[in-house]
Amino acid sequence: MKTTCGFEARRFDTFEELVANERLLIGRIAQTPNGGKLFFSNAIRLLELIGVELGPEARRRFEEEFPFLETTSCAAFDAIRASSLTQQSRVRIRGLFDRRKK
Amino acid sequence: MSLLAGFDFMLEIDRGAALKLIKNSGAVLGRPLLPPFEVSLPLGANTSDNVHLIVQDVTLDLNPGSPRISLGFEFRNSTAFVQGLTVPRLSGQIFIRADLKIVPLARARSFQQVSQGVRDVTVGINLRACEVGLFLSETSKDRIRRLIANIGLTEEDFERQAKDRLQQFFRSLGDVAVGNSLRFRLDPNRDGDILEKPIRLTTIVDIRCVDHETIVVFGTMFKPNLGKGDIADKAPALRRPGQDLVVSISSEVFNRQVFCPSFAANIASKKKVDPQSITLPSACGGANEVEVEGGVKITRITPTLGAGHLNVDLEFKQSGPCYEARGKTHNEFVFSMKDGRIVISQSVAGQPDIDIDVDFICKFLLGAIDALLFGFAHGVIVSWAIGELAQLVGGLIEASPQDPQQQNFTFPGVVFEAVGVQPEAFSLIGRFDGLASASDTQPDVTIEATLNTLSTETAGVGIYHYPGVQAQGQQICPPKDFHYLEALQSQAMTLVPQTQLMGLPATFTWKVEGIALNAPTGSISSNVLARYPQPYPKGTAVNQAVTLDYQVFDDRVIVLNRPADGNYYFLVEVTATDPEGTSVTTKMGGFGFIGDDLKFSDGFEDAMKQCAISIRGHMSKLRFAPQRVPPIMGDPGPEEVATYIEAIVEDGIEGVDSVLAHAAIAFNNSFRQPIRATPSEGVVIRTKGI
Repeated sequence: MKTTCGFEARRFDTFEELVANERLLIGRIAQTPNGGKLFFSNAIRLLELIGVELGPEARRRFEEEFPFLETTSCAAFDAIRASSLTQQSRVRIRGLFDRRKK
Repeated sequence: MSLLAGFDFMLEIDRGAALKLIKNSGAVLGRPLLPPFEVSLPLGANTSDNVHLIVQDVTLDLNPGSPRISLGFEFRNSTAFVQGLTVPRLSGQIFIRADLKIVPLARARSFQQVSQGVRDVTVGINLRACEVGLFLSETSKDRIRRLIANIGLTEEDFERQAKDRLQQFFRSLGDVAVGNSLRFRLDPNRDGDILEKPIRLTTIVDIRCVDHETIVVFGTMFKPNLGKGDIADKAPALRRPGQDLVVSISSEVFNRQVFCPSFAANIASKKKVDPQSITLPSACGGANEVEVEGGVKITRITPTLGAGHLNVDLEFKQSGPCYEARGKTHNEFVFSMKDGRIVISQSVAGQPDIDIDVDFICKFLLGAIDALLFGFAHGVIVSWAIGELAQLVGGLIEASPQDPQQQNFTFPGVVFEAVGVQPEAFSLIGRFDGLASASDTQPDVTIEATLNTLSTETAGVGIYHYPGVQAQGQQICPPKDFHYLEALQSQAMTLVPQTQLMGLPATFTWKVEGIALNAPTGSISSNVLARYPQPYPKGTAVNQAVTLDYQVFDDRVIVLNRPADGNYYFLVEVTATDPEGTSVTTKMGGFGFIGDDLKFSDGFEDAMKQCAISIRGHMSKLRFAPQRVPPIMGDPGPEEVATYIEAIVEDGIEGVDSVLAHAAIAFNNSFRQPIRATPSEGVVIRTKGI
């Protein structure tokens, strides 16, 4: 099944699966217009946009690991997506998870 | 072509403004040249050979592409005195063609500075090699032709010789400074400083006229720039009609001496450290970075002058454990003048262009995202970069808080009114304040008087019993007897008329006490209030007819008294008429004769002065109301003494009668002194209250 962005839908039920697929996620964010910026506007919605569905446990752990990430607000996310203008601030995500912890 | 022709510094001066400077400076003839004015110039080694010019207008013409100017004097009703001949009613023009030159200011610098080649200079004119042109009107030439026909000179010879002699005179003046408003300090040993007063330059390369209306001074501010610049590359003047002068500095000077110091000062101020300790980023320094707020570091700051504005491009970065952000922003600022100061306002606040590289998600990102991504940092960064610029650029012109017109930029007497910004130059546009273009002097005649005592005859001798001064129970001055001798004096008052803005030679008619002096010699009689010094000190006033003898000459009148008529004043009226028929009449009073005089001995004068000092000492201890009894200083004149006494009397101090009596004695004594100098001094002596 393809998402609206053309990515094949993936579901991760555990946080570890998510970590294991970091390169996939980064690649999809990079391919999405303003992907980095959208990620920091609403990380969950960005994941959905790139075809990533988090199971309840994975989502719980994601929000637990990154409590400072916005995951509920939609206004900024929608505005970025709706804008046809080039964004003057760009976020390039080269990694998601702190490997040093491992 | 470029505005500054590749130089660091440029001053453009309007022709009309330069003319006003010349007119007001007194440089050329040692006096202001505000027309109309009169001046006598030599026409040869013989002092009697000269020309009296009445100058109606002064002009200045510029020769584009060269330092050459032409200063013109339009004269009329002027008179030449040559080889015993008087040639009146001349009119025409004198032109002095000379080169502009940077000349030293008279005020010397310290020995050390002078020995190191430091000089204070200003704009001047090199008259050493000037050429003088003399152009007489046709009627003047006819008049000369007729008058000199019998001395073997042609009109052409006369004109040529006059021109040569005038040229010789002007050349003898050498280099003359055109005022001292436009002054600079030149120090060849180091870089200049636009913020010093006066502006310090490494050198001034040239001064020249770039068009018919503009004089330009080119200078170098930085030693490495010596030799750079090409005058031939100068674009048309930046100055617009109505602007007296434009001071321009290159973008390099602006960046190095205005913008970057302000940046350093700003950073230092916010960090509370010495500006010298700040390492500035590229464009203002090396490849450094300077940390500002919230961990943001400015990595590059690039000020560039634009068309009407200043561009400030900033590059900055911020990094944390899990990210690195880099951004840049473009801002524009415009300059204006308000209340005599330069005001800076931001015209374009460009949105920052930011790239954030995220290595992994961490909590430190939160602040960075807020600050960088959503614009918080922008205002902060601009504030750090620009904050002090307004103050520093404003500091170029330090307007007085009390009076915005009183600015303290490098050029005294110049009021800056606008700021101009071009990609090549930052400019201050101003005008000379308070310079007159002309004078309101009118034709006039005044009288200079000299009083001489021709003979003295002793009429008698006596003793004056000076009563001394007592006040408030104290003996301030002791009583004493003084011997005196009464002298009857034959005096002569010589009255010499002084004309102003009138052609020469003028003729004069005279009246004394309203009676015309129609004959070469004669006598007149007039009713006056005459005074005699006895009984001393009150004396005696008598209304009586006095006789004045007179002798009338072409250039003066001598009036003589008869000693028995006592002491009195008389009025004089003189009417001057010049060769063109201009006629002016002046009446003057205050001319007086001392026919009857008491000459005291036994140290009378010294005793009176000593007593006055004692009285002052005593009075100073009393509590006069200052608004009623003004302080009296030094050796007061009679009027001041009279005012002082009146004030004391009004204040009702006990013993004042004694003081008053002394003052009358002293005043009477001063009244009896002969008039020694000009009638203006004589006018001071009045009979007020005595």
